[in-house]
Amino acid sequence: MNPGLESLILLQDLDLMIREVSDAKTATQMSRIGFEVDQVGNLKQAREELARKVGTDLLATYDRLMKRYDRAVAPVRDNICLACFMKQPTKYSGTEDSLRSCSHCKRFLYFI
Amino acid sequence: MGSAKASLLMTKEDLVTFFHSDLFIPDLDALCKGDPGKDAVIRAMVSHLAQRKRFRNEKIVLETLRMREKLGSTGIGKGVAIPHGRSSVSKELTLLFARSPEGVDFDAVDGKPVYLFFMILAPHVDKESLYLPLLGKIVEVTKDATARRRLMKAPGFEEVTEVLLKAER
Repeated sequence: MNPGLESLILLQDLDLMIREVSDAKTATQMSRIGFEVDQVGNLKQAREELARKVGTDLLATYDRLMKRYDRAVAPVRDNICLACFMKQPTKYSGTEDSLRSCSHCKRFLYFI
Repeated sequence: MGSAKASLLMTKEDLVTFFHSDLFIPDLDALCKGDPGKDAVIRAMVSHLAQRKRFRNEKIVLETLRMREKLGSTGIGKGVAIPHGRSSVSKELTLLFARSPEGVDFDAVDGKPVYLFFMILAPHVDKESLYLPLLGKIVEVTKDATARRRLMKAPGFEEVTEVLLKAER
């Protein structure tokens, strides 16, 4: 997988994890189950380090997409973006190693 | 621990449907020879799942689980750990069960070694909302000391599911 894409997926997973455990209802549920999720600071620090690795331009695009859609990276299957369900141009197919975006919604795409 | 509310939504019969014979590692120690640490056992379990095509990118899943451990250890005590997380590359809610006969220092909340591992991976969108109930049910079932002891001794996968069905909670 393209290293840039790999970092973007990880960044998204990390952002969604931070969001989930920062939600009071989820944190209470986790605590009731038996998991304390009180070290969010550690995740935020890891997020900063990862964001630096991604680079300014890519990060700006990622942040813009996250703000707009809640997800900046989306899976693609059978050449269809599974976020907006639009078919991608044929020329896009079979290029797993490249960093590419949905031709319609512009989210970064990864094969699932 | 009050896992009752989350686990009420899941029965023991529901729970066993998440267990699969190909996602059972009876002896983790054999896979982590010479490196029996926390990260090594997480790597071994993730690698086992990747080999069985549960996701395409092992590195991403591994990093996500490592990040989750930074939030607080998933070693819940009494020899049990439930490493878990949601990942963009996870296709479906997946459970792997593994045992370490020797025990692993997993930074568990009680500081004791962990022998029973239940690794849970979920996509971000869990349509049936089973992720938390599954976590809760495992916590609940493993509160039963007899079940824990029998899970360690179960000779095969069939016996594992029998133990889960007969657990007190």
